Amino acid sequence: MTDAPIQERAIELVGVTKRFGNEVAVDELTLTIPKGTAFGFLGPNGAGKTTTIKMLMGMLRRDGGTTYVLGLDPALDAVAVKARVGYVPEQQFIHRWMRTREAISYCRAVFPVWNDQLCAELLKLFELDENKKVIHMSKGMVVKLALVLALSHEPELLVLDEPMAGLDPVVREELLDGVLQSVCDREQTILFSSHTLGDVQRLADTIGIIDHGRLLVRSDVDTLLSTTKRVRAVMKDGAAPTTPPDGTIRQQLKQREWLVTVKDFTPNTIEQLRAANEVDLVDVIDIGLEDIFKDYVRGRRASA
Amino acid sequence: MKAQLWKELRRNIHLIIAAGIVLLVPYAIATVVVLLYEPPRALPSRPFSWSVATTIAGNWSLALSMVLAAFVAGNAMAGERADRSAEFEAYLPITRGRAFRSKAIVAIGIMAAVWIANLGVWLLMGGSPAPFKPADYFAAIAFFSCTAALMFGVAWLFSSFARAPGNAAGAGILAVFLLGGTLMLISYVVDAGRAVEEKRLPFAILYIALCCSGGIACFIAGTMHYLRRVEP
Repeated sequence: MTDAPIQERAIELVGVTKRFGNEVAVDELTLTIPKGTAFGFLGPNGAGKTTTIKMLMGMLRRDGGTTYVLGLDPALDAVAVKARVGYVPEQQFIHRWMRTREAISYCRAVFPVWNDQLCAELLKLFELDENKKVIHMSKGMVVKLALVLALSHEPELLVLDEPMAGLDPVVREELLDGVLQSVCDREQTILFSSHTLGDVQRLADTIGIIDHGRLLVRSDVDTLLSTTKRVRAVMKDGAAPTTPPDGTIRQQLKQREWLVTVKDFTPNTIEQLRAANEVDLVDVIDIGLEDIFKDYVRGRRASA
Repeated sequence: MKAQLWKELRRNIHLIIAAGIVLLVPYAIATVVVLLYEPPRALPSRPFSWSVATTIAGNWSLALSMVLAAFVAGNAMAGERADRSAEFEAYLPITRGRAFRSKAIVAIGIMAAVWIANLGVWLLMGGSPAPFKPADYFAAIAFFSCTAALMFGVAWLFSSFARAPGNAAGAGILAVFLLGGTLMLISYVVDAGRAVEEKRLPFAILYIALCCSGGIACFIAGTMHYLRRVEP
């Protein structure tokens, strides 16, 4: 995937670093997202997701590395990048005095492309009142309006930075429907950052897990789910685990029970574990995206 | 550009209303005073006419406009950071140059409207009536305009990086007090032996020169900082 020609890459980050004082928010992050994919960007709070996204949008200066968005460097061509990217941040700060129609008319004037028909369809889908002021809208309605503004200029890349945080399941569902409808119709690339793993799993075909500004894993969702397993081994009396199998992400020992989460799991993983450790019993447990995410993050923190 | 101008006008609506008050209230009060004290109730020793009233009202309005200048410039950039709408603007494809132009046109436009209206009324009423001398009127205009320029420039500079428009406006007002106070102190120490009238002129000229150059320098510095800034 990373070897795709540059014109087929929606996003390319190579060794990108961002520091705030002495704190490293993004640490030599390298990531490629091909065009036409839906990429789920996962990470705990403070992992560096929003900082990375702001650098992609040309809203924050990077301290090192190179960044390309749709073949453009956001540090040099921020306006050209913004014209081709639809962005919905976590918190919405559309001018509070604007009415829905005023916000639309303002954005229509500043974007080089604007699809009035799509805008009208989305307004209808989200049941937004054109005369309502932003200040009088609920949080869900403002996010819907932000999504209308982000999609109506037919962006090649849609960047959603945890916009659904704090929204009720009904609104989240409506927003996801809106995004999916737009993406299916236009083959857009999506970068979707969220804590709600169910939403990510529904929308994304590839995910990346980031913590402390470093990418821990990048894989398509199906492969990740099928090759990441939790191995439960019961140790023999008096024995202690010595050598975890290759690809161990995280291990926990609870009395005689040894839980090892392994990436790139194969039957050979169990043989390797049995050969190197005194174990009585070995089980393989399928785990979901949420457990995989937690184990990657906790495993990284335990090893740090 | 039209959309940005509309947004800036709408965003500054409270300051446009304030400008209207600064412009109209002195004249409204002057009108009431003239109606109350027009002949035969006026004192023969103090003839009160429409031209006298409008000259006083115009000066009053221009004096108030100095403070307005600080608030208009202070709100230009910091206002959007205060309500965080700058973050919304930051992801729209608008060049910093275009954003700057719309902000500068609206901010300078508000001030120009107040000044043009006041000077227009003064000209319409036939200039400075007795007992005012044209030289005094022009001195007052020079003082008001240069003070307003310094307040505007300093507030503009602070607005380019501040998060609170009130702080930026406050910096503009404070700068005038600091400059004026320092010059008064220097004039007292340096020329202690000379009469007040004698030493007033050079320091007045120095005050005007420093206000104008400082205001312009701060406006340019604030503009450069805003244009180069990547963050909202």
